[in-house]
Amino acid sequence: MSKEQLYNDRVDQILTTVNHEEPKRVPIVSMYETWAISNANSTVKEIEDNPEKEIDVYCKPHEEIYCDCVYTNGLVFDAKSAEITGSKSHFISEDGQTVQHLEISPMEAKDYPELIKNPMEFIFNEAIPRKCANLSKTPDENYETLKKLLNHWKVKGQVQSRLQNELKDRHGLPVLVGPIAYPPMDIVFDYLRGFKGISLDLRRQQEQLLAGIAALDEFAYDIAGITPGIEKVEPFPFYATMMHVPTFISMKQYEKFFLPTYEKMILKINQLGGKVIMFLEGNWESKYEWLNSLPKNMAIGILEDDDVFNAKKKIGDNITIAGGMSIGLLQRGSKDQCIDHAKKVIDECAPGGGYLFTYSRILSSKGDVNIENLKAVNEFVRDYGVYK
Amino acid sequence: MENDKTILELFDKLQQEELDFLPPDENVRKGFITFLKFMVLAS
Repeated sequence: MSKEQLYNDRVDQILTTVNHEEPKRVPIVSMYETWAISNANSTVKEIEDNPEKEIDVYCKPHEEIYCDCVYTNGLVFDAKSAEITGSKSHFISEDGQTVQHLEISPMEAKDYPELIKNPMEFIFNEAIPRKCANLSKTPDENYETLKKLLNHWKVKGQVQSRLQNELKDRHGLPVLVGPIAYPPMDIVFDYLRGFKGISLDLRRQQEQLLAGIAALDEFAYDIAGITPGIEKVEPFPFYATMMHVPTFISMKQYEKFFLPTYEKMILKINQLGGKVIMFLEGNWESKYEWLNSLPKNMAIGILEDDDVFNAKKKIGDNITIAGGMSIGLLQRGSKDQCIDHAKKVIDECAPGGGYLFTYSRILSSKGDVNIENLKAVNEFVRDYGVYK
Repeated sequence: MENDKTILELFDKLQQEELDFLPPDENVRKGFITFLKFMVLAS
């Protein structure tokens, strides 16, 4: 089978299982974030200085460890963008091999009327200059900063496009994540008000928060590329949501604040023919009823802290479950223990389709996983996870 | 450059003057600027 046939076959198998039919084998997903950098004995700085290096760094684990598809393509959030804009929110860790995040909340509680009135003007003309030192200078200097950022992403975009082609052409590997379906409430949480601010807003100014989230609706559609008049989107790659605030709020708050805008957006994506892969950070058991209320086969949920066996029983008939392999076991367990666990996961989660095999955390740092265990488990699932 | 250009107006200028490496399709160009706006917000 050529690499192109292998790629197409893998996409077919992924879509088959996501449609709750049994594919030929259980697809195995790799989730290598900055772990790939330490695995290649490289550094974030080395990739920044030599962008092409990102291709070698992110192809290397796929030459060593079996998998059928890749969660995200390369280093998504780098530290260079923050360096260019003069923000302190992303920076390279002391060991040089991961990117760390510092919460900076440039919006104050009193700013809601401005956000609601004109979200783009408020964000870019008011909030951003408070956070990004290099965008709070003269217009000429600010323009130079934007040009630097553009040139950085022009090069990085080309490199990431080449990386995606390399994964396809050399390894027959599809990347699962395509456009981003960013929940408007997470835009407020992640980039404007932060953990403390939104916690206070949820109690003290609920109507303002609701209106602020609603005001960001259009920007969220723009980020997802869902433009007015669009008639159809592809079912693959998937629209992606990394859920952030939901794990910290109650179901009641989730329904009142998070869902009105987010649910409308993903139902629109589904109506256009798309599917959504959700990274379900934390534990989602309290929100299973909502996951079961979604149209069947539209969503893939990557589990972090949920019990995969319980999740398969409770929501596995409606959405596709991805996960199940304990990262703690991969890190500290013996090879036999890992394989025993993987066998149990396949036995219980694979029947009927609607399942992708992966581990319970995105790999970030060198010590996150014992690579020999990971190799052994993926090879075991490749051979054992065959539908008969 | 006019001294009162805001960041949003600078994004418009960027879209008009710096995207020759992209196809002329207006949607592609707008999409790239939206992506850059997102990267500024996320940075």
